[in-house]
Amino acid sequence: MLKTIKKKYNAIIVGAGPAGLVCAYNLAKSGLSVLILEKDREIGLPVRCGEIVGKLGIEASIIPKKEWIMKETSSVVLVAPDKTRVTIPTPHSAYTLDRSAMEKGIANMAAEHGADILTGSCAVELLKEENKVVGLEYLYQGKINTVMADIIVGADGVESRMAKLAGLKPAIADLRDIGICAQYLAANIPENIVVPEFYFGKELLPNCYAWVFPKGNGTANIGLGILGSEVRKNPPGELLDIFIKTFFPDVKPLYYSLGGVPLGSSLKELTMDGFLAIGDAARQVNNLDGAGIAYGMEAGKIAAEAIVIAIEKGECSKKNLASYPKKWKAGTGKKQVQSNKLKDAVLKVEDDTINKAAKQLLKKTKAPLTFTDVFKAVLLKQPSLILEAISFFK
Amino acid sequence: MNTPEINAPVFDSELCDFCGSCVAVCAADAILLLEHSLDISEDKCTACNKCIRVCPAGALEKINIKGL
Repeated sequence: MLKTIKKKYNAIIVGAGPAGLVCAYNLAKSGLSVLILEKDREIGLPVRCGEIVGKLGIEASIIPKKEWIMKETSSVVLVAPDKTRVTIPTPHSAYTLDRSAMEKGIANMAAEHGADILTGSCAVELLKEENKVVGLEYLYQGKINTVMADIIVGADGVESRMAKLAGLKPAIADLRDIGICAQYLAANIPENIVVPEFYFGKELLPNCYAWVFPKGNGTANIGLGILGSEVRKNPPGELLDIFIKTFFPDVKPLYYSLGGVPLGSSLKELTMDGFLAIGDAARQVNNLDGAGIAYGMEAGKIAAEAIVIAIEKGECSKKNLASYPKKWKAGTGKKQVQSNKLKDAVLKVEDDTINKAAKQLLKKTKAPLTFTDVFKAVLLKQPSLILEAISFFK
Repeated sequence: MNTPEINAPVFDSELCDFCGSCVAVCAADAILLLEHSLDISEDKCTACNKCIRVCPAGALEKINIKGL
């Protein structure tokens, strides 16, 4: 495979996750030469993700193929600390994805339009000429290789080094701005679990929430996330085992993964001459629920549009790439800022408030609510606001 | 004879899930993560301990050897 890699490309995408692949696909479709470098040997694995995305969120960037979707649902269940269960309809569907299949699918779409792909290849250095990124070095089967590009896209996830090497300062300074999660893909899920479920309660789940996302065939992703500042006190793996023993004593693990998710602001600077960052690498994640697939894919799409413009202008300078950060900050970037404020409020709510709110919601479940609406309604300090919120968000 | 202070944490590859949370919080760019390996640079590490604090697997621990 290495012999087919060219010496130069229009764009090199570092990281074959949802953001990088949507970016690569859009660039390849526009006729640009694209190389995708993925450090792991298999695209789509390991899965460190609940695998849920809103239908509208993903379809803004790419229309999912049937085989990427395990389940489509239009309601969620909230489980309060006292175990009250509330089913809430959502205005738009959510998909539970098979990310392994989806990522291979999008990689295939990029390849069909001429993109080159190399797995098991880890980008380790950025090459610069007078403060402009011009290429990179990557490690493949123990050897360093060099490849040049008009633009390098850092889509290398929460553990991004490319954004660090580009000087965009992605290192998370405040440990409350990272969520550390543990998740099982579990089998033998009870039959009454049919839609995504969210569990709250300070005793079992201090400063976090647990999720159960059924995937069909008797399986579900069961996981929880805790703030980075709390990990030594409450290791997520241990909390998860206690949670499962309490609620799902008969399930069996098929797969176990740990992961970190950014829960703070996205990078102040998303671009430099010859480089831009997208997805988790750019810290583009909903701070309230840790959802990053839709944000990352959208960033991939608008970054690709900016790159096409820049290449037409003759140079991928920071100035020529400006439409990407501009669109991000004016659009989804604003939603992310709101999610950050909600996260702070949510962490302060007492169990008693959630129990009361859940019981109130049980009486009024006809109005469809978005996920953010539900958090707002259920977890604000004043339960009386819930009825107002429900009638407002029809 | 003086033994220099060692900054970098001790790493247990048996416990590590290679999730990258440690890399995400390392401002010194001291950690190189590959698919199944992790390398910490003693030269770059500033012993801020953030990687140790966020590791969900408990795969990183502090070591302190000063002099003899």
